[in-house]
Amino acid sequence: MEFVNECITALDSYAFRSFGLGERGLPGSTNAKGGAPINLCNITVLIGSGMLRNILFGAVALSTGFFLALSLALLKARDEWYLTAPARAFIYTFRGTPLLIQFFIGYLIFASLGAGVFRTAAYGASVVLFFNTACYSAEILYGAYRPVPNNDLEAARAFALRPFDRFRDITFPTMMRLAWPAYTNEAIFLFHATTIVFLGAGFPVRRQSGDALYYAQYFAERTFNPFIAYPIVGLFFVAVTAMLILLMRTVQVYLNRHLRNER
Amino acid sequence: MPPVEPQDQPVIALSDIHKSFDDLHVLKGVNLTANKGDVVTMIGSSGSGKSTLLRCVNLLEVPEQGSIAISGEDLSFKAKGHSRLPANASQVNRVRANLSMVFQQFNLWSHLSIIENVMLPQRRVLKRSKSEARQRAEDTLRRVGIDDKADAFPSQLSGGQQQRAAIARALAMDPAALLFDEPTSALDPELEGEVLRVIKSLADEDRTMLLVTHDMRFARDVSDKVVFLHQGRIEEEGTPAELFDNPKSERLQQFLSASVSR
Amino acid sequence: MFEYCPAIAEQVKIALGDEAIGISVQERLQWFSCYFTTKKHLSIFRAGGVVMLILAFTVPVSLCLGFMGALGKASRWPVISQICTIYVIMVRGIPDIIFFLFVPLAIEIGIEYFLHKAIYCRDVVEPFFNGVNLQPCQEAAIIPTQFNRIVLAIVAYGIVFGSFAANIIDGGLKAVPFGQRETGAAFGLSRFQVFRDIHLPQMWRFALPGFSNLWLILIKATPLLFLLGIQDIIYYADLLGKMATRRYSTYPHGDWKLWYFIALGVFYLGLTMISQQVFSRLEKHFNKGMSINNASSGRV
Repeated sequence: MEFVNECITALDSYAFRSFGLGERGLPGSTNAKGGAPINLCNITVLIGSGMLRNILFGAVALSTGFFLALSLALLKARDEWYLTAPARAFIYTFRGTPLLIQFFIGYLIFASLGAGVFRTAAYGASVVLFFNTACYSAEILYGAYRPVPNNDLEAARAFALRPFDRFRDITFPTMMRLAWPAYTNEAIFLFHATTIVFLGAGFPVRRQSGDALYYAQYFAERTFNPFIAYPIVGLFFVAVTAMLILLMRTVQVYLNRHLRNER
Repeated sequence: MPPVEPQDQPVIALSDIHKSFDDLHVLKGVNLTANKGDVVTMIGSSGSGKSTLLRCVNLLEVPEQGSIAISGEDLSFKAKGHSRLPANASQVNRVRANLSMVFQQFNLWSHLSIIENVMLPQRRVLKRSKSEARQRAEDTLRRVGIDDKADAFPSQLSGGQQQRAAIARALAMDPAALLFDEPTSALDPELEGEVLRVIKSLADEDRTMLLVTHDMRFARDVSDKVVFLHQGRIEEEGTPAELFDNPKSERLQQFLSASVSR
Repeated sequence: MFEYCPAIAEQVKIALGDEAIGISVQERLQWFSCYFTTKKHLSIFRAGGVVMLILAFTVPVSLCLGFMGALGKASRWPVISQICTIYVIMVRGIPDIIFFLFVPLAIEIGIEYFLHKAIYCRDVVEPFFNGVNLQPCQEAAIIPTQFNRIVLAIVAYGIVFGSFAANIIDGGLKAVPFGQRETGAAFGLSRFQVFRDIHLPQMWRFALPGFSNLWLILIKATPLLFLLGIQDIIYYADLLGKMATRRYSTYPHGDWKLWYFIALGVFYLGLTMISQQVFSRLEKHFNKGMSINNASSGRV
């Protein structure tokens, strides 16, 4: 019973701590306002709270990055070298360099521009993640663009569908179907990559509002015990990754619905 | 001289069509007209250029030379030779919307259900409303006898059913003419019949049709005019009776005897 | 030449401020050649070497663990096959960085626990583990040196990339057509011979694209060494790029961090470019060497 009460208190204090809401001091912190004890409830709730940020980072970058990815992929698929060359170079640069270095460079550029909110992890890291995932996705979409069946496109031309309609109704759906398995992988990689944002990638952590791994590391360092916080954060990631895979599979089934053979 | 009424003009009029791929000269000056209500069938051995000619009609291939008029409207081109292109994209779209094609490999859009396949060009090109397009799609699917498969996907249908769906898709556009590119070549023999019956019933309705086929019996049965192509030229043309019963050129005689013995 | 350097430095001090005009290209180059060869600066090149060294050790470790995982997965003993199955899929669900943080710490504490219990502090009353904290006695506590950290990092990287490799090897082994192995068995080869002479050599061909991809992922994961407290190229880029004042440095300059990190980016870009070239050649070589399509016509 006491355990339940502890956990309710933990939820009350720390459920949205990663966004700066709730109790100011972290459990076990030595400053005047802190002092909540370190227990399993607090650890789990706080890591779960950080998890929300990982999910948000991933979701925002993936959904906004998709549009840039599509543009880049279509540019890369053009015939004119002056259109493909910049797209190629852009994609290659982001795919060929480590994300951590991109974070550093991004932060330094934002700082030198004095770009207010983009010097914070929440916005600045999101921008870097956006470009990063856009380039990986662009390569995936580009790979799925070329095998779109010629027959389908020819029929569309014969029926006088305009280029935009051809793309929207024929090319795009086929492209998405072909790209989806790889895109699922990219979503998982991106989601996992969000963990390095708060780990010393340049962006300052403000008011100890971090992600799941930030809190896990906090507890591991404070207690000199990695055997509780890290497995918890690991399990969180397993669970959310499993949900992500499930979600992507559902979409995959939808995209492949026409291949189901009833005869 | 009285003005020529549009309905008096040929639906399709090709003159002096030349087309080559790289070094291969496929069409070497072909003239062809199809008047309203005509069923014109093109026969010839493979490589004779009959499919290419059909694809020139709706500009899936652009001929290097020659003129094309659809219902009296002359198609305009720019540049010359291999780089020749249609000058007016909206004209091309207008022509294509008016000449619906049925392909050898059906070319149904595999990610759309049958009824969606029939509705899509109506909605996008003719700008019909959703309910109108659905209504028309149901009508044409009933017409070809697969209204029960409306919600299936192409991969779930037999080849014959897929080709009938492709015909329904073409019919739903209410085109001035239908173009058939070897519509039964990709089908198993036992499935050919159902498709041929549908095409025959369309011919009986006095629709304008341009047909490429290797099925001589069917060509004779359905055509008003038969055109025999050989090595990119029209070797002989006339009514089915003239061509099949009384072939004049030696090449047509050879071709026909080879087809029969097959 | 080295003694000559500070004098130029005096001049170019100004050059790096607002009065850069008037300093010749030659003098600038001289200044940079001095700047890049200071003792402090050479350490960043050494750090680059350390990164390469870690890569060189990680590859064989991961390959070994990968083979163990992939073969263990197909083991007849359920315990082994279950453990290996978990090992093979674990990196799919958990970010690599968590292992990088956890594994070195866990190993360190494991050793400390052993020292605490078995050697130094057998008579200490206070428990090693009290609720949430772990406390080795003073003698058993390990002070992490750079060397220790590097060794632990190799182990952590090996475990993580071993899991990735196991996944690839598992896939490659499954991709070899059964007929190939069956033919071997039909000619009287033993299970082991079939594996060594037919299954394994053909596996490489199917697994090569996966390995190529994995190598690129590994290269791009090396900056995370910085997060493990290893003094790698990022550590030095951060250190050397900082603004250096005249008071503390013979080579004062402004905040050059951005340039340093761009240089690192170019370094990694070059590394991935070279790797891709090498792998595409390897792939061509393997595909030439054994063509599955022609297998029936040729040597059987």
